[in-house]
Amino acid sequence: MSALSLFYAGISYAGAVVFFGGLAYKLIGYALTPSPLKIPLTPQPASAAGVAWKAVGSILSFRALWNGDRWTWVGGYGLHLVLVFVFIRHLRLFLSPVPWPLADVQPFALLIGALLPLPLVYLMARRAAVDRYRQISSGADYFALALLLLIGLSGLSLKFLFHADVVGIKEFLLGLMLLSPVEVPEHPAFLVHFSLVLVLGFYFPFSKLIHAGGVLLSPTTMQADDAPDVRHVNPWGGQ
Amino acid sequence: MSRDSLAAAALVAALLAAAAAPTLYTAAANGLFKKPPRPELVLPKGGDGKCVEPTDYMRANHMKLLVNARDRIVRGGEKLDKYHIEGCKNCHARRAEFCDRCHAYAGVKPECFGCHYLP
Repeated sequence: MSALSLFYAGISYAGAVVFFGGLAYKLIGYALTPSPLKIPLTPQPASAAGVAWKAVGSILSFRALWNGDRWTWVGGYGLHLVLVFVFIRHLRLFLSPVPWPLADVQPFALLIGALLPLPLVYLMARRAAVDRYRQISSGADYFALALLLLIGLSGLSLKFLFHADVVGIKEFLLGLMLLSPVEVPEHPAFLVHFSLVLVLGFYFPFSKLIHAGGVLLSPTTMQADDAPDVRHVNPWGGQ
Repeated sequence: MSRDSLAAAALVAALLAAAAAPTLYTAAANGLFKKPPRPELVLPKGGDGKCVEPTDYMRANHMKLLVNARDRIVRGGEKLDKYHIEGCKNCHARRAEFCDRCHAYAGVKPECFGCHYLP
């Protein structure tokens, strides 16, 4: 294998270990963190099933953001919706054989997935241009948006400017997944795109982006409002 | 273990399984430590083995040549040239043994064959 291929195989596996290990570490950490107080954000259902159902609705609608700030909701909801279609566009490169409806939906998924830079630029501009958002924006807020923007632009350049050999790329990715790495395609735009995704993989579990899983392990959103019926025992306080 | 911690454990397991699902699917379908699958093409016999452009270029960009040829020839009225899809048949006689293999591998369904009859 070429030095470049060895480098990319090594850094990819390091990225996978850090991403999945980091994800497990953070999520298990959230799950094991004791919640000494009953602090659901009311109004909240009084049963576990009601809370689960509400969580599904919250994830699908971003209800809290909708109630808080409509303009932010437009950008945030738009971004996550587009990311779903970007995910669908990429699955075909990771699944072998390609399952049935995936190939048929690609042209439609492209129409929406290609919009990725729009919500990112909008959310960045909102942070930079509105005084009260600039006040509370840190470097990490801009970094996450800029990283996703660079990934999106390099990815779109692969689709619309510098076509790569998709079969070679898929073979490379499958090789990594099957623990039998092959040569990396030496296509500059692909290497840029792939390297940026690796940066995202290393960064994801230890950044604000961990909200992807953490949102489901937050006491304020996931506790039932059952304080009148069930005694909440402080896990280190005994009786 | 309380009910809450059981629920949290199940939730964490589900989230991690979701993150790993594509890898698990591909590993289950192909087997670990095996060479990654790749499309097997039936290459034309005889001829000089040369396509209209170099192989590496064709792998990445054949669709651009075809769309460009369509615009020039079908819409612009130019004469048929070597870039038109009808020319492909001279060497790649069977679509199922050439075009379709990579398209299926990569999850691509081009519109070409809705009009062009390539057996």
